Amino acid sequence: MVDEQATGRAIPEPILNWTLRLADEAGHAAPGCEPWRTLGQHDAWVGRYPTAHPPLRVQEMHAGRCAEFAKAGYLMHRVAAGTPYRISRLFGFWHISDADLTWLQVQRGDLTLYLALAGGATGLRGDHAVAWYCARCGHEIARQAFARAGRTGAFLAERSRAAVAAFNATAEGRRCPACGWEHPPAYPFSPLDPQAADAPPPPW
Amino acid sequence: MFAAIQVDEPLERIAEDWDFLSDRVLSHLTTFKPVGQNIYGVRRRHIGAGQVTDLRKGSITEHWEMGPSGLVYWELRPFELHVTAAGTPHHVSHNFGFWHINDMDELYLPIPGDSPAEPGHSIVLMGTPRGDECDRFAWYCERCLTMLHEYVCHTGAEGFKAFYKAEHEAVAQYNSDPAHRRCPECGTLNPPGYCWNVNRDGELERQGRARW
Repeated sequence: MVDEQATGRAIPEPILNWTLRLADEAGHAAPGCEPWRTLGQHDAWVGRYPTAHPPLRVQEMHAGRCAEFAKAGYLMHRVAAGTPYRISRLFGFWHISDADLTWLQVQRGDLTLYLALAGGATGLRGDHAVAWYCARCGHEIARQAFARAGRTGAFLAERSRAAVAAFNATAEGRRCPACGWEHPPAYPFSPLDPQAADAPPPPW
Repeated sequence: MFAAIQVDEPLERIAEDWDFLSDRVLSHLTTFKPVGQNIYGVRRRHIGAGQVTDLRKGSITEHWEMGPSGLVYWELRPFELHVTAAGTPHHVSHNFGFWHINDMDELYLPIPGDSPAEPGHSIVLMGTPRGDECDRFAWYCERCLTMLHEYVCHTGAEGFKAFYKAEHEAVAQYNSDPAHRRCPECGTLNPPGYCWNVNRDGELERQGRARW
């Protein structure tokens, strides 16, 4: 038995199923996505997309301007907590949360692997918001805040859906109050569905 | 869709180190660098099926975790993310010569290179400790797992910059007297400790690194 007396702290049982396989050891995998998983202090999501699929790209809003952090091959990018960001063709809204997001992209043969890791700090409240910005002038068109709304994975996959539906309810609600541009309908978190391979990817 | 409002300035002006895997940023992550809520380390290593090799340390494939019932062994596997839970003493053979106990989860992800000859990316990520969250350096008897020595670094209060100094002090303290390495329960003389950084190895530390 392990001696815990010196440290005075209980040692937890190792958790060996906190693993997530992006691909097999040779880098091969069938296209598709894993559902979000909570792995301790982080939430994790894995996507495996055919390279022919339009790439998923991290976009961030900074003072009404859009920065797209994209390159071919390998990429690891951190989205700072509080920054409005979206992953193009994965979800059609801008997400703001109190958790950092680490986005990893690895291109391997005819497959592009993506890994999202949300979190890192302890004691986060789980505050989230979704927003939409005018693609013509950068003005914020709509925003809905969710206080203490839980972990990022569950929020993106489930709780954000109501806000998306509300935004889509009327064309007027999607119109930019500054310049009049009408935002196209939003779409919820939409990972690749290999069963619907013929369906066109989300347009934005 | 957002081409009309795309930022004009270079991305480096928006976020200086926006791609951790670019050659420029990688050189800052060969140890660990706190960035926001996480601490990142990315090393170029040869990663193959069942083997992760550091050019200076040799094989660092073997990972050990300690639980209430004893030791658990696992191996780094290409493309597999593994999470070592907060509070779990863990040790990577020939990589660092102590049991690391942190209050933050630690995530490992080895990504092999594009060809077997090319080094891959060994990614380690852990939460940034805050407040009273700590890092501990501990030694347990290799025969009976009795705790021999522990050094606490208050990284949450002092910042992660305190980690490597504390690691060095912990190893030096442990190695300073063979009595620290002698198990009070079973009498086993345990191998010396050593730091993560090979450059800190003296003769005693080299012996320790070769052994465990």
